[in-house]
Amino acid sequence: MTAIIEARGLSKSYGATKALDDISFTIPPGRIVGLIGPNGAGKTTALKAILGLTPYQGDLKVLGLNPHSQRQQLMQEVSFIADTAILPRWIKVAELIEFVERVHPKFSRAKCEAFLAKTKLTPKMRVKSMSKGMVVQLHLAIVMAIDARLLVLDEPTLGLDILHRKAFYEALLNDYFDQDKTILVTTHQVEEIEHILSDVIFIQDAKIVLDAEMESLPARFAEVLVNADRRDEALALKPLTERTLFGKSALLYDGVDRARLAALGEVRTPGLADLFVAIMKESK
Amino acid sequence: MTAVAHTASAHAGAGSPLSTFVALMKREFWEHRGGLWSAQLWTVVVLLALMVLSLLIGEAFRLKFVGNVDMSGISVLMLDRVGPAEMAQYRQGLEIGLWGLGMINQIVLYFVVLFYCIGTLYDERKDRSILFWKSLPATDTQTVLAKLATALVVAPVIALVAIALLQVGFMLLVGLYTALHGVNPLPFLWQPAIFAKVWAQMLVTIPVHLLWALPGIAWLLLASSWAKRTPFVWAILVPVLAGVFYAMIETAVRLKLPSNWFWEHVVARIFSSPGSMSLRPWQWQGEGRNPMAEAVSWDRLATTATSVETWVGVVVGIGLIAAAIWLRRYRDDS
Repeated sequence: MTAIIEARGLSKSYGATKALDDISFTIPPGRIVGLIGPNGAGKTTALKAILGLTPYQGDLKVLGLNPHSQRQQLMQEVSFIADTAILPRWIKVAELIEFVERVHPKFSRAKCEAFLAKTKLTPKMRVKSMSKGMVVQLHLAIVMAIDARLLVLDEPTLGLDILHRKAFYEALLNDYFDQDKTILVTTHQVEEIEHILSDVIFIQDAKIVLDAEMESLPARFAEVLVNADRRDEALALKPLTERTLFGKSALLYDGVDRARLAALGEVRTPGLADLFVAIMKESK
Repeated sequence: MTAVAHTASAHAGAGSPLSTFVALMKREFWEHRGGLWSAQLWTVVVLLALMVLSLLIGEAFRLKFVGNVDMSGISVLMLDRVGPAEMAQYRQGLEIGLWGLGMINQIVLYFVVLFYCIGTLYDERKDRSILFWKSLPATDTQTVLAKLATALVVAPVIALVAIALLQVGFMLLVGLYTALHGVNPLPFLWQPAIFAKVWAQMLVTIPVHLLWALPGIAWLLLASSWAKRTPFVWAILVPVLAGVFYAMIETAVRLKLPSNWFWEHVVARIFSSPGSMSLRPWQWQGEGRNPMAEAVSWDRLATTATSVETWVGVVVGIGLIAAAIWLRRYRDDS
């Protein structure tokens, strides 16, 4: 099957600042990809280019289309939630549903209403009078009722409390995602999405520093807890980072044989957040 | 479209250009219901209430100082004496009166459309809701054209309906008042031909005004689409400064078109574009007997619709609208 997103030499500058510096990546169908990086690394710019919202240099195909010149066609197959709370404040739930129903050929009112029935939202409610959590629920209900091939989420849970954040991703995973769909998500709350991701892309200073399947991470990265007496031995193997944990050293390695590490102490697969910090430090 | 997509969609024709355009027009109405409809309706209600009030006050005043007078004898006498010339004059007076009644609604329409045009493409960027609108398969061209149609068709048509309600309400009130005083109002007030003429003219002013106002409205939408901040300043300052600049050049070089021409045909045209045709002040200075009726006479409508100036404006307007669409499509500042 063809790639959902294919970027080759994608670049974008704002004046002298490079937001994207010659990046390339491929996203196949049926994946949930996390695009992770610090603020200003170029995540949002990459998403904007993919959604045809900004011009760029290089070669970019989304669902085989040029997102810049074939934007309208693309929007029939792509949904996005760009940031939280961008729904127009004056609109009522019923008006929003009617609008999307008329405009989008792949929108199902029944699905949308079924999802809304699980929430406290009523047709006459205005976005203006909703809490942030409710706005996100409404937006999610709209997006989940659209049978799109690609869903792009840019910090979709920003400003939500933990209950709403959990519910958001659970709904996405249980009621929306299937093998024909692809989700591309950026977020700061790495820990909360790492268990749902199938792939991860780390981006820093306009460049990609890691592009890997989640399944491949344990084979490549390992963290070992070492007692103080064996620390020098462990440091000799060139860890990416070292941090202290209950008087022991936790050292993170890239591409070092696990058996070798096991001799030094307890080995585990690092969490995405630790890996992120390590790789960001490493590539500075 | 595939059959699968068809069955998945609950709404027939969803996503077709027509369905999308209808949705975009509805969205404008929903968002601006207060200005487009409620403001017009409230104007009518308030004006009718004022009329009732003034009739009551007048009546109280008359009863107190004059005493009740039976006017039935007088009016019958008068009606007998009214000849065709007087009747024609009366009809014209009624016609002007009906147009004049709509003045307040016209002014409300003017300001609603002015603020609508200057705000609409700016506000959606300011509150970032443009990102939501752009996440759906409606093109920028469709969106901007829906806004243009709201300013030039929907708003005036709604105002026309409100004015018609006001006129009927006024006639009913006056009829009721005279009837209570023993005068049969029907011969004077029941003039369907006049209503038909006034309403037909009001209706025809809409397409004629559309042609004439296209460049002005398009400019306001472009300013709204362009401005990073304070679209109002852009919308007003650019044409005014251009007029000043034009006048300065004029002092140095003799121009074929004097700066007066520029002020009248560019600056004033922009700011008399919102609203309705009958609000253009210089049109009242016609040499006809009744400036206001003259301003919207069939002759004047025909002259406006066929003048070169109107059609040059249409071409300019299309260019400005294209620029506004282009900016909405390619500007990246949200």
